[in-house]
Amino acid sequence: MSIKDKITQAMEAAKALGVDYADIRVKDIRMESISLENGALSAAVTNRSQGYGIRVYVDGSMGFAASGDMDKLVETVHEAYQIAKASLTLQAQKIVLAPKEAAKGTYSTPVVTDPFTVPFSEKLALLNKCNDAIKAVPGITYSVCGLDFRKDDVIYADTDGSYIEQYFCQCTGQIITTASSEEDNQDRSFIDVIRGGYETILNLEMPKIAARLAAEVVELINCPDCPSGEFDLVINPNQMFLQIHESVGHPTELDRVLGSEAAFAGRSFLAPEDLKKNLVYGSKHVTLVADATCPQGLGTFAYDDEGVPAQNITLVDKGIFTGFQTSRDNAPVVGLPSSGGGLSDGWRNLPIVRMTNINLLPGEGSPEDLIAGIEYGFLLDQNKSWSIDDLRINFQFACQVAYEIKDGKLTGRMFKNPIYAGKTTEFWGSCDGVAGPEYWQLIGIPNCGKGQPMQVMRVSHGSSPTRFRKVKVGVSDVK
Amino acid sequence: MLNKKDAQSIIEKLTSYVSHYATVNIGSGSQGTTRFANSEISQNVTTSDTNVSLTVYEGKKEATCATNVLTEEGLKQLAKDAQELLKYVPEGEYEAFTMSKEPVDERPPTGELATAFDAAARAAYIKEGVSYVKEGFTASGALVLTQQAIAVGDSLGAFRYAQYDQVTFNTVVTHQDGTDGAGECTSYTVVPDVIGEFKKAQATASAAMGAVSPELGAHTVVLSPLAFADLVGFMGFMLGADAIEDGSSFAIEKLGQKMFGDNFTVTDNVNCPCTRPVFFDYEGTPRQSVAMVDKGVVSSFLYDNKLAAKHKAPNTGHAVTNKGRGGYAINLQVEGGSQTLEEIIASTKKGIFINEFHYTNFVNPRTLQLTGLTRNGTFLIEDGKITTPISTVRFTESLLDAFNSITAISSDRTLTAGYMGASLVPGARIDNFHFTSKP
Repeated sequence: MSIKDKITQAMEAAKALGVDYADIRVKDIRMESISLENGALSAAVTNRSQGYGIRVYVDGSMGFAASGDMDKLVETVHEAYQIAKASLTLQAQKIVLAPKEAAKGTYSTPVVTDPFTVPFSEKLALLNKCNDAIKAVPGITYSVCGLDFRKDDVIYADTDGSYIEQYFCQCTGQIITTASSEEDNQDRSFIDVIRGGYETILNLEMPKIAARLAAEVVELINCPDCPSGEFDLVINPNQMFLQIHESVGHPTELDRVLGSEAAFAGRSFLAPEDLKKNLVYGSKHVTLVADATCPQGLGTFAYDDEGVPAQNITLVDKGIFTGFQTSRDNAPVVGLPSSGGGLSDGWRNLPIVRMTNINLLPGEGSPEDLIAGIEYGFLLDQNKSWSIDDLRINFQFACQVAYEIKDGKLTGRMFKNPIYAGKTTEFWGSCDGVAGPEYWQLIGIPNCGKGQPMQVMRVSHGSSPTRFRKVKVGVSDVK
Repeated sequence: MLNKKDAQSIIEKLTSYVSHYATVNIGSGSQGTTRFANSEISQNVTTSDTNVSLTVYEGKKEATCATNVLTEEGLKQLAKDAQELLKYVPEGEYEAFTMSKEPVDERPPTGELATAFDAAARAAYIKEGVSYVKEGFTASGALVLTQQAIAVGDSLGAFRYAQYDQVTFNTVVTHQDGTDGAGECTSYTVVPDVIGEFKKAQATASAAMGAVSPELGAHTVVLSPLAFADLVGFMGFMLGADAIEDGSSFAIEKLGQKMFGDNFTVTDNVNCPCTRPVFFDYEGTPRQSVAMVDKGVVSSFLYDNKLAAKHKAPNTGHAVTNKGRGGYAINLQVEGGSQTLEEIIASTKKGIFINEFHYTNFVNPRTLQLTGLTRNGTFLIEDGKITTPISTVRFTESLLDAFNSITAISSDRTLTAGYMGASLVPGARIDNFHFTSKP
């Protein structure tokens, strides 16, 4: 029996049980990892995982069952049905799903070269070039050069008659360079995860990145700690992605706002009524979107895992909070349609609200223009550490390096261990400049954790270098 | 879930398809999770899967392929893929480490947890627990039953199998003004007191109302086992040989040196009757019980085959993959002290009781500097009594300082769910603990 026939049979079985609604995601995921550690091969691994997750609603209660056994779709429908009935034990409000049209369609990540067709030797040669660039720098004590590839064949269907086939392909390049002394250890690293083919890896020019990072880290290990105080900052996209992720992406997820994640990932400082209050989230320079149509984004698709079409939602418009990220089961609670954010990290898990591509729209001018407006401050590069409270108000981030800015120019001096901290809306309110579109970068990360069971999602965030005024830098002053 | 016979059959079949020395890892199991939010069941899911990983070796070359397609065709394809990949990989640093055949213990589950926590029973527990939640409060959380089998074997006939059931539960009870209290428990053996944790969360949430903002700076803190386990877990990461290898550990060149107070002893004890009953590691090596910190002295790192060979140290059986990324403690326990947690609080003139930390992360692993925030029940201790609730506050602290400033460790210990396992940890009182900012 073909997979399409098996899916049809499963949805018919759900209907025969009298469910309100059922849907299914069949995913066939293939992965490949190659990495060098200190120049030696540390991993040559492939993995294939296929299976399906079936969600059913019975009298407004939900049950979900997933299996890797491709011959047990109908049995799994029955299992999900029994779980939904168990959910009825404690159901104060019937779950209402946001409406959507039944959809039929296909989508493929634009790919020039399928990375799984590129010979192993070619990938290894690229990593060896990276390693050669690192080895050429005396003082490197540890290094990693890695490539990861993943492709997902996804079929979505539901009892409303939807049938959608999508194909996603992503490539990851990673470099870690480390310099250690007797008492200290510093990293300069790079990672990007991009939707596309092998051409995206070649475009990164990883050997050049490796050479730059290696040269910098051996200097950084001997640099002083970043001074503490209140300073003006310009933050590069490789740190901005996490600033956006933690202080905009998560707090605008409606399931968090409504308390669904209260016992694990946490809640949000936002409330549903904030949508009508013209809540000031940031300065006029701050416009943020959840854009599932963004090229090369890890949150880019034609349909989410609930069969809802991809959208571009404005979360913050010139500093004013304007939108939540939603999925079908929570959007109706606040009278909204689904924003197309119902996603699961694989076949095993239930779709929950996940970020698509949360992007800070570019402003104008160059990074140099932003730096020119700073009397004394720092340009921060690459995330090193992160932490934020469960309402997403108080954050503290560390970066790998702070480049000194004096009298509107970079001095060439570096500091290690820069830490900055703030409160979400105050911080975004202190933004007074975002560099222009030619400096805008989309950066993908592979490890956003949320939900129970934990789902590890791949998300992208775009930004240009961005300037913030009077930010608290350093915590060593408390000791 | 694969039983022992079926797991062995797959390993024998798969290794018969390859012409090289080969090892096989199997993970097979199911997990049922019932989540609740706003005092009603919000998500109710079950997942089952079996994943098979095959590593083939030739001299110093190795290649690994994995799949969950367990048909005859799927397994043959897996063997073909691994042997094909092996042709192209360069040599690594080491030849294959032949899997140990030394006998190890087995402690199969009794089945009691599986029966007591099926989907219907989980819903019933949550319904009863929510009935203890007072007006104006709501409960959220998850009750999870995990049933897992792990098997490893090789082409020379080595075979190991372990199976366990685990129940984990966590809840947060929240007042409409946002005040929280929490409860959590986990067990591999006896039925845990889920309803008791609901009651505890409600009591904490009720007591936490009207929180005041704390002063920043240095404080004496009394940590619950849950909060202390969070900090100890981060230190545990840095005693894995991989952290020594990549240069990130605080303990580099510190083996045998006194880094912490006399009252601080941390072991990874595979024989602990209440932690995860898997007596071999990912490479099939028997797990050793290891004192990682003995009376404040860094006494051992945790090893897998490759890093043990590289560091010329005994393999402690702590591999978590076959990629030389070992090792990690999954049966971690901290030695208890002489006073109960209640007595420690009673003997504290002025301090802050912390029930739980949130979003703890390294700021600098080399100095064991961490940051994180308090959550779900933080209170002032005044003249030996828990008094005023305090609101969320961030700490930034080096554990090198904190674990040298432990002035009391409780005799009572709690099993807390951790990364890949569970830890048996007491509460502790720590002086000079720094709060650095607040929301």
